Amino acid sequence: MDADRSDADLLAAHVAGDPDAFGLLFARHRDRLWAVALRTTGDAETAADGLQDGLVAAFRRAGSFRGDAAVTTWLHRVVVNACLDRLRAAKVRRADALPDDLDDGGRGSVVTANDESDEHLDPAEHGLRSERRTQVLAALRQLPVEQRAALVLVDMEGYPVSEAAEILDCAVGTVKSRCSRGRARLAVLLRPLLDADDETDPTPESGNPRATPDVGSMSRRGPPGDPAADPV
Amino acid sequence: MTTDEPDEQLDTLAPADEARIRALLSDARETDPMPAPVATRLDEAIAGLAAERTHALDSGYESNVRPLVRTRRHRVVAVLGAAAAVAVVGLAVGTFFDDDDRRVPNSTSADTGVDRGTAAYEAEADAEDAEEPNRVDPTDTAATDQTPELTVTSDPLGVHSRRLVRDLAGLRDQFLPDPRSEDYTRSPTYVPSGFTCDTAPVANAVVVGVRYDGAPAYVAFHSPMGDSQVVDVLQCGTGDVLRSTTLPVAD
Repeated sequence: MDADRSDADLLAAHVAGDPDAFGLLFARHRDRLWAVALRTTGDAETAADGLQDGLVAAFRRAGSFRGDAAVTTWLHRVVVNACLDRLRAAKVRRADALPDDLDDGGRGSVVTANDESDEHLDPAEHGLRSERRTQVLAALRQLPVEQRAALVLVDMEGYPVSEAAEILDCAVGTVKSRCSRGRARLAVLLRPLLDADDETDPTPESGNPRATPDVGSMSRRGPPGDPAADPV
Repeated sequence: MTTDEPDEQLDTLAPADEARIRALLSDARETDPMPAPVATRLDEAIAGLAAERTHALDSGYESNVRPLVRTRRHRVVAVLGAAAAVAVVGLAVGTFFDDDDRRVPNSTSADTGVDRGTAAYEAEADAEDAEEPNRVDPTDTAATDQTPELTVTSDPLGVHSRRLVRDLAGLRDQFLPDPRSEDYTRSPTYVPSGFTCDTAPVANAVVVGVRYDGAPAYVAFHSPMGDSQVVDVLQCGTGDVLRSTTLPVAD
């Protein structure tokens, strides 16, 4: 049974020549990888390209995986690096801003305006929440890509700082520093939201939105409800 | 706090604001599954890689790269006769490199072009009597040193968006059997017979005229960086990048 095979088993099988193993491994984690790629790049097309680049690299270099980190961490590292490479290359090539805030609905929306947790909201609340997300994502795209990637992993996807550091291949302190600087810049960019009425609080409950679909085999890593519990 | 980045004065953020920012970020996380078209595309890419690996292993590719690559190159491009090539190149050069609006519509090639894809590459590989491309250099008559070296191939080459990586890898096998040793500064350009497109190819890249999802387009293979190579699909007429991806480059 494929479900009984661990990620490490599947990767080893792929290295040994199993033609289906890598596809199974990817299928387990693709939604999570997609979420990280989409939020890191801020653009569905770039996210798809970066994800594909990362998969090609992971497929080819699976034999170099030493097992020092979890397979999922390694996969995320490869994909995030590919996405960052895409962003840097685009910046160099065009000497231009990052992609526009386009909602490319057919290929994955930059702004998730209708996730399952919105089912609990009335239309007015839904609209406010959608608008708030749009503003947050627009502000996020103004950050340097390294800060953005750190915030996506830690504050959006809820990875522990130590694992984010492994994914980003940098020191724990660097991740903390990037997160801190990124939040400070976001606070300036999003000051109107911070000063908004408490009724618009996006998280009446701490942690992830309710009824969020499980996107992979990993345990849910919701953002910390109590920042003091994860002093990044 | 240790960091591998230059020292920077961190702005202080009130704990309440920090918590609020983290909450806003949490609320903006992506919760939808991967869109079906993206999933399909990536599944195709993985299937292509797996097939490529199986084929490589069957062919002893990994243990002996160069001979196979050379063989494929020999098999790949059948060539027009010299007279036909000259005639077509005359047309192609006019439509490729002139700034004037002198594009010659070629509905015949558009209508009859076949998206051959990987299957055609494999079919071609079975041909016993293929020849090396017959390179025709338009600079022979009047061009400058910047004019790319042009080679006319016999058939339209298909690239499909849903199997982009696989098709581009096959295309590269045909025209760049050794990407690291290619002279990109010459901007060698390969176009099928009857291919018309008035967009000047990019500089410092190997350019191949293809039919991308059925429409004329260019594929530009840029000089490898490290162990990867950026490949762009460029729109005919505008030069806009339709798709861009990277292919691994073997050592």
